Amino acid sequence: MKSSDTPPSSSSTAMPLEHRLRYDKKPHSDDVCVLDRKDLADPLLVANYITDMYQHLFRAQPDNCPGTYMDNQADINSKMRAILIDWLIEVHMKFKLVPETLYLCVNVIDRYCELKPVPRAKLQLVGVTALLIACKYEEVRRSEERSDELITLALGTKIVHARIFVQDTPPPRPLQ
Amino acid sequence: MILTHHPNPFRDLLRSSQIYPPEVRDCVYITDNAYTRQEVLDMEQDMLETLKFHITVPTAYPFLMRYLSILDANQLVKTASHYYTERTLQEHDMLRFEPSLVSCAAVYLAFNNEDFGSGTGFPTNLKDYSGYSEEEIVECASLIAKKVGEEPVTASRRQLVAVKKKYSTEKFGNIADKYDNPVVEVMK
Repeated sequence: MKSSDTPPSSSSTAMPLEHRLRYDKKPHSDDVCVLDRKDLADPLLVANYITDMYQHLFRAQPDNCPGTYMDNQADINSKMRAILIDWLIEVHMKFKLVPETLYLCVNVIDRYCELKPVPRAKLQLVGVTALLIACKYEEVRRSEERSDELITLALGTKIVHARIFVQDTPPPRPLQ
Repeated sequence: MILTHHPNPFRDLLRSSQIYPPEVRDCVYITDNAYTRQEVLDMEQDMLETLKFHITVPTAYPFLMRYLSILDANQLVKTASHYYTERTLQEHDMLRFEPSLVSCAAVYLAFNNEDFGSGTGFPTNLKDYSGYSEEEIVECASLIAKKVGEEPVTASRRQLVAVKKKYSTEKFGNIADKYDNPVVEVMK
């Protein structure tokens, strides 16, 4: 548990970052933070660096996280985004990917859509490409090792296999 | 010789699962050939250039892991927090909150669900670490609770319940169908 000298909480919006910095600044320069001591035995948990890393992540947030953008998009809306991400979550699960990939994939979609207008028919392409990019960043397994038939072997008839948003096509088949 | 005959369990495990991350041709396949290989490649280039190859970004996931480690949460709280955070991904409204706040609110919700037997209120550890005030958390948490309770349906009557289905499986402790949906009790 943390020691008693916690700063008083405040409801002003400027407070959180300052507060966190104080928390993070205190212990890491000469010692490991109290809450991370239990992790010292395992070098993979990088207890010595973890406050630095999170301090950076908190600071990097305002510049790297998308805001709401649908008002600027002419052809797509938040419902289509929901359908796309719902489908991507199924694909993500069927391919047994790591959770980081999914979060990064959604972040890439949103940051791209924030910057560029996307026609409805291209939204699924944006989604699937974002997944491809995210896999290259996060996945440990390498796809070059597999043989050609594997995808059908492994996923078989259960493959998530659907067209969405392409206009004038029948609604996608139900996913199994 | 010894090395080549030495089994590598990690590698064997991955080999035996026979599932690999998607590559370009899989992207074409899973979209039912809606797009060509070249279109996927062009889009990849366009996206990376638009984002200036800046792909290493903070998402809700690392914050979630950090909060759960700080709280030393039990397995149910962990799984439920993952469920709630993942459920927010498909909600465009949630983009107005920063990811560290969303995952903090998800942990708060899971922590306050009586079924998981953890406690009530905003845990002091989490409050000190995240620096968020209870009002901020409650605002975001009520929205998450509302979204988790909903089952959106598209115009073509297709239900958007991938996350719920995923977290109703045994692998995730049936967290989505065995327990009640989260509720936010505003304490005054």
